[in-house]
Amino acid sequence: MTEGGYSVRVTVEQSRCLGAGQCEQLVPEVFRQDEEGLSRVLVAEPEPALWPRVLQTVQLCPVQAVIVQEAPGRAPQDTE
Amino acid sequence: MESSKVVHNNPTEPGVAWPVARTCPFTLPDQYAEKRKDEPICRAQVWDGSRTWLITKHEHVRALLADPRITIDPAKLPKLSASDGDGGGFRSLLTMDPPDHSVLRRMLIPEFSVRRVREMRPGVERTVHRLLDRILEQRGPVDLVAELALPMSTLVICQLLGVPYEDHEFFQERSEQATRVGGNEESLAALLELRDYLDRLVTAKIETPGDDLLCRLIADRLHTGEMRHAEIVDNAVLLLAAGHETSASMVALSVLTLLQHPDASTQLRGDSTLLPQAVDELLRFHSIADGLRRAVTEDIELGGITLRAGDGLILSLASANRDESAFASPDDFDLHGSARQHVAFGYGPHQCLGQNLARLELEVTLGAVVERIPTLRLAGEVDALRVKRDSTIFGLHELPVEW
Repeated sequence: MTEGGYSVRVTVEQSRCLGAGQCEQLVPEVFRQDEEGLSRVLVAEPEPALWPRVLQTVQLCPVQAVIVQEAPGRAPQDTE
Repeated sequence: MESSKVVHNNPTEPGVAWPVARTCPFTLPDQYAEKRKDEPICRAQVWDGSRTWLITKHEHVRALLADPRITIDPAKLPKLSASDGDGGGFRSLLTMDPPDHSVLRRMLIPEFSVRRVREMRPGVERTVHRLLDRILEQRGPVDLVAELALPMSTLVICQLLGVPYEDHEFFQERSEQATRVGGNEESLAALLELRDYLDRLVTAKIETPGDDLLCRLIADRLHTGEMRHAEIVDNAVLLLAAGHETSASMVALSVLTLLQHPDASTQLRGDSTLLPQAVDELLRFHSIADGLRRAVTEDIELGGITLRAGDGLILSLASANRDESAFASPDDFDLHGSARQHVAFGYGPHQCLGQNLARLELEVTLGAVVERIPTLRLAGEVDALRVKRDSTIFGLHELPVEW
């Protein structure tokens, strides 16, 4: 997602993930549980239409393993 | 209390007597709404008189269940009866805190992943349709608890774990005893019988390997030294008990609710893509597992109150799921309400391991019922239905229907 010239990425913090699978249930286009049952991100910068559901997974993940943040190294250009 | 004034955080106040019995399939005890409004974090009076809090709001329930400063250690939880002990030395997902819990849970999650559960769908569909075939051969009335809800969930968990279905009467009865509120001598005896039964089964599977969850745990975890024999047995008890009672209760209550809302049944019949959201709304509306118990390990400030290390916590998932500040018109069943953030499966590291399977069972069973028996109706009055007042898993004893 690019907003005001900087990009936002979604990641799953593997050390926190406990495999509830809520993220894949909600946005299978973006999240997939691997063989171990831990969630992985398929697309770190999904298309805009998917973001409302991606942001919902941040709320739903029972162990707060879904992280949305600005892409590292790219500072916001104009926050106003 | 003699005064009608609400006294906040008064250590001499006895608080809400816990457990609070649920008597209606659709409504919750009045205390929940009253407490959410006036005193969302209030004292609870439990059997041993220990300092215990009842948590009734969605926001607080979520915050605490995700907080690392709480424990699920059975020795520290609020006691609900004289024989409510330390869990009989059981070592399962529901007796362990992170990080030990995380290690164990990670051994089990591949079995319940979204993909694995999706692969179970054809098997669940066959099971449900076979049970419905048998029901439709009869003239009615039939009891949907005995002839659909309970055999469906039991057949599914038996197949997954590799437990012989012919033993179902034995373990259904023991599970029901073991999950009575507060427990008694019989509850512990029932739990130990279940443990003996699964101990023998695991031993037999070590000698004769097969292709089921318990055999995979033996091959991948026992033989590698990652899990001990007793841990496999104790978690098998948990999976077997949790796996059949909860889904069965939800199926029966859900069918009843759909019978009360014919418009919703009609919509589901016309559009099966509505099933997932219907299932979430039914999970929210019924919240059959209520009153999760935890204890505080370090002081926590929440909602203007200090929860002290050593305090007991009772977290009402049912109240949280009827919280007006989290859901619009929470006391109504609304197929199109946004229920996804419900806490019916709990929250935090102990959130239900089998939630994807539970969702699948409910989607398939409810979808098949509305599709195949459009004329289904209750045989008798709603008021005559007997609810499981003394069970930690709320539900119906029977659901007589005709068509």
